[in-house]
Amino acid sequence: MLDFLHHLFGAVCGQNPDHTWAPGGLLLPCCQRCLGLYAGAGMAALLHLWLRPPLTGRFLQAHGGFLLLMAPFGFHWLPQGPVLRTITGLLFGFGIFTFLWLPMSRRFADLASSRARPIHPCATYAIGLGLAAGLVPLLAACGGRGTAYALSGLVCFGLAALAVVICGNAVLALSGVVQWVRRASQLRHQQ
Amino acid sequence: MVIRDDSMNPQTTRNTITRNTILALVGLLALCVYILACTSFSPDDTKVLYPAFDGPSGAVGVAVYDREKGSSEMAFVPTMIGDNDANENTAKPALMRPQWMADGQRFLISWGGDNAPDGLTLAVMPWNARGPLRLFNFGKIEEHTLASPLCVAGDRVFLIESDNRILRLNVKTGEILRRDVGSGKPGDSKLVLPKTKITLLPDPNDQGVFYLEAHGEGTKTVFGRLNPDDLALSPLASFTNDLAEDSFFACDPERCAFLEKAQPLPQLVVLEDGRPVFRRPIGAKGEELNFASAVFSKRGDSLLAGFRRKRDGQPGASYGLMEIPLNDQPVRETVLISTSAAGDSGEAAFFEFGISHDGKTAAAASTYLACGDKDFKAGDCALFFIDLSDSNRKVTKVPIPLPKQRPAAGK
Repeated sequence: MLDFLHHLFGAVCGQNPDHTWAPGGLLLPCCQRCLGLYAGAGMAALLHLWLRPPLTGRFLQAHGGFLLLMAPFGFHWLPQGPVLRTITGLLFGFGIFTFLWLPMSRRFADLASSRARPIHPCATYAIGLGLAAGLVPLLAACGGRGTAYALSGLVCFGLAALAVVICGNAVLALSGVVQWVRRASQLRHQQ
Repeated sequence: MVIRDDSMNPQTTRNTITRNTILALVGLLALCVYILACTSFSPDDTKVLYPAFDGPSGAVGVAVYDREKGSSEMAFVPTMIGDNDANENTAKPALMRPQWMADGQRFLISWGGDNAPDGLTLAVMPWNARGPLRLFNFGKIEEHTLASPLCVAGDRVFLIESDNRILRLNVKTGEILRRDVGSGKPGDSKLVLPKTKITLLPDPNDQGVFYLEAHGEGTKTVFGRLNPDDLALSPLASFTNDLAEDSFFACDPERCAFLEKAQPLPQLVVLEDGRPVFRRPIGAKGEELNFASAVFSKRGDSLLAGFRRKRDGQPGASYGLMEIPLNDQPVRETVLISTSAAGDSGEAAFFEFGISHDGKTAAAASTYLACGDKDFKAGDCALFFIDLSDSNRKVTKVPIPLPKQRPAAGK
C-alpha cells in the first residue's frame, strides 16, 4: 500500500528522504512539511464539519497568518528542523483548507442548519489545532509501523479532503457562471 | 437554536460571497505555489551525470548533461600521480562513478585505488549551489565497484569496510559509525554466521539500503533491509538458488529478482515474501549474455537491465537495454551498440542504465567501454537516452568525444 502512496504523492511532493519521517522504519509517502500540510487539511476538514466555527474576523485573519507563515519557512529563510517543518506544514494545511472551505461552508450551513452548533466552537477548534500540531510530529518521531500506516491514512484523507473542496468550488463556480448567463439572457429578453 | 453567519441582507450576502471567492482563490494559489516549490527541490531529471573525457587532458571526468539545453559541461576531473608513473609524461586517469544526492543540489563521486589498491575516495560536490567540495579518503574498502551505485540515504553513505564490517559516513558532518555484523551476541537473530559475505544494495527509490548476505555456493542467501540509524539487519527473504555470473540482483521493498544458474539457460526468478512467484528462461543457446545491474520498472511489471550479447561466430558484442516483462510477454531489446565492441563479459557491468524518476527515460553512457577496448568505434562512444514511453523506443544519442590517447580501464 505504501508503495502505491509513494507513487501517488510523488506527483505533489519532492519526497526528499532526508526530510521524511520514518516511523518504525517505514518511510512515509511524503516529506515532513507535506505530512503536516495534508494531516492539517484532514484535521481541519473534520473540525469544520463537526464544529462549524464562524468563518469571520479574527478566525480568518489567523488562518491568513498560517498561510503567510509558510513563506519564511518554505523558502528556508529561517533555520528549522523536522518538527518545525511538520508544524508549519500543518498550520499551512489548516489555512489552505479553511480558505477553500469558505465558499462551500455557506451551502453546508444550509444543509446542517438543523443540527445545533457545539458550544465554544472556536475554542474547541483551537484546542483541536493545538493537539494536532503536537501529536502529528510526536507520533511521526516516536511511533512504530502502525503509526506509519495511521499517518499515511491521515495524509490520504487530507489529500482527499482538499480534492473534494477544490472540486466542490469548481462546481460552485460553474453553477455561478450558468446562473449569471441565465440572468443576463433573461434581462436581454425583458429589454 | 441555529446561528447564521451572515445577515439576510442581499448586499451583505453578495459581499460575503465575493470575499469567500477571493479567499478561496488565494488558498488555491497558495497550494499550487507550495506544490510547485516542494517538487522542485528534488532531482528533476533534467540534469544527467555521466563519465566523459576531459578535452584538454584526455582524463576521465564527470560531466553534467542538461537535457533542456542539450549541452554538456565537465564538472569534475581528478588526476592521480603515482610512483609508477615516474617514467610517464601524463598523469594516471581515475575511473569514477558519479551519482546525484537526493536533494539534487549535490553529487557524490567515488573512485578507487589512488595509491592503495583497496582504497576509495569519495567527493561530494555542490551543483548550482554554494558550498564546499568535500573529500573523504579511505585506506581500505573491501566491497567497492564502479558497476553499482553507492548506497546513500540522505546525507549518509554506507560501505563495506572489511570482514563484514559496515561503515556509515555522514558526508555533511564527517561522522563515522562502524558495525561489525559478525559480532552479535549469542542468540541474537541478527548474528551473521562466520565466512559470510555481505553486499549492500541501494534502494531504487532512494529510500534506504538493502543487503545480501551470502554463506557460500549452495547454501542460504539472505536478502534484507539495513536500518540506516543503527545498522541493524532485518531479513526479508532467503533463497538457496545459485546466482548466475555477470548477472544482476534487483530489489525493491516488496520483492527481489535475480538470474539463477540453470541448464540449458539461466532462469529469471522473482521472489515475493520469500516465495518464488515468477520464473522464465533468459537468453538463447549459442550466445553469451551478460548484464549490468537491473531495476524494476516504475509500473513494476518488468525488469530493465543493460546487457552485453556475444553470439558464437560473431567478432564483437552488442550492448543495449533489455526489458524483461514479469509475465509471458516477449522480452524487448533496444540495441544501442551493434557487434562492434570487443570487450570481455565483465564489461557488461559498465553499461548500466539510470532510470528517470518518472520512469519514462533510461540513460546509459559507453565511456568505460571505450576505455577498455582500443578498437571501440568513436561513433559508439555516447550518452544514450531511450524514451520508454514511446512504443518505438526512440533513442537519442549524445556523442562523447574520445581523446587521442584513451585511458585504460581499471578498478
